[in-house]
Amino acid sequence: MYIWFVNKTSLYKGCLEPIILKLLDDNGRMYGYEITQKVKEATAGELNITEGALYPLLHRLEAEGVLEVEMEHIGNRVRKYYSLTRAGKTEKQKAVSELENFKNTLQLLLNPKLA
Amino acid sequence: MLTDQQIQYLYTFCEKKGVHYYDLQSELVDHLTESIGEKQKINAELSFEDALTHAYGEFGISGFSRVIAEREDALWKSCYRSRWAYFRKYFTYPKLLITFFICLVLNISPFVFKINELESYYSAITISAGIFGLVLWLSTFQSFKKPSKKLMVFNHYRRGFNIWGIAIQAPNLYFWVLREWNADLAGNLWHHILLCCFVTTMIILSLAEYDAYKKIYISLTKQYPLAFTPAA
Repeated sequence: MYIWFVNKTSLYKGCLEPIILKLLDDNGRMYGYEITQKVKEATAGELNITEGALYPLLHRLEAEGVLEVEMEHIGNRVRKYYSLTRAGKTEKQKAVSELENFKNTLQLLLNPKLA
Repeated sequence: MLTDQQIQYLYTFCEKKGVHYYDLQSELVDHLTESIGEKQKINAELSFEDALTHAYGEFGISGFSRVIAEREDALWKSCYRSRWAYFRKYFTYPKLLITFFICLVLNISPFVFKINELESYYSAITISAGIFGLVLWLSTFQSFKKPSKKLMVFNHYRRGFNIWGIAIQAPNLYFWVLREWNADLAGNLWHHILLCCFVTTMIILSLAEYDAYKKIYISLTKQYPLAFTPAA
């Protein structure tokens, strides 16, 4: 017998991109810290995005043309806002749809209908 | 709200943690500022240094190193994409007409001005194209000064531009390829047309590359104005 420990963070890892794309679609433009706080708030603290995972993802999505950036001066510093490009909005639809399919598939596995 | 000294401390903190570029430092400083502010709001007795330690801890065991590495990787792609987008935008309808006009002038000049020494003519136009590219490239050092703070994105763009490398292909082709092969350009109309078109193309591509570089530079000065102000 072995004990299987499920790491919650690993389960959420693959969902990070659709979560961020959906957030940006719903909120227009956001900056990095704001994204982490919004995710924490929306999931009642269940999901904590680490900054070490968030910023590489944002930079990759920016490089791929999914996100665009806007710099704004906030008092004594510069803030970088991210928003979806037109291609990003299409990508968001695809990502959310794939997540939906994934969720439905899991539901089938976890709650199989008895013949 | 953090003071200017505390913000400067955060920039120094990022520099010590291996973030040497101002653009990435700015993003991380903004994040740390918000995080520290939030922590101090919850616990008013928390010192700035302790709040910073907690905020930095949220980046995980690797700290900023993963963010730096992934940013470098991502920049290669995004800089190539921006460069290509600006480069393509250069070729508007009026520019295509100008290109056609230059090509026509180069092609018919020997006939209009009754130039018999076509080898001299080809040497002149290819060398002129090379010199044009060289002057254009040298002018970028004058017109587009390096930022006073290191920008990762600027370094990537600068490495990718090759204004003179394009224009130099015109004399390269003529002197090191066609003349070496003893190609009969003067006696063949098609060879004449192709060489003139090639020279035109190299001139226009150099101009497009220069224009893309200029537009990207201007956009960077707007995004990071403090990085382009001369150091005090």
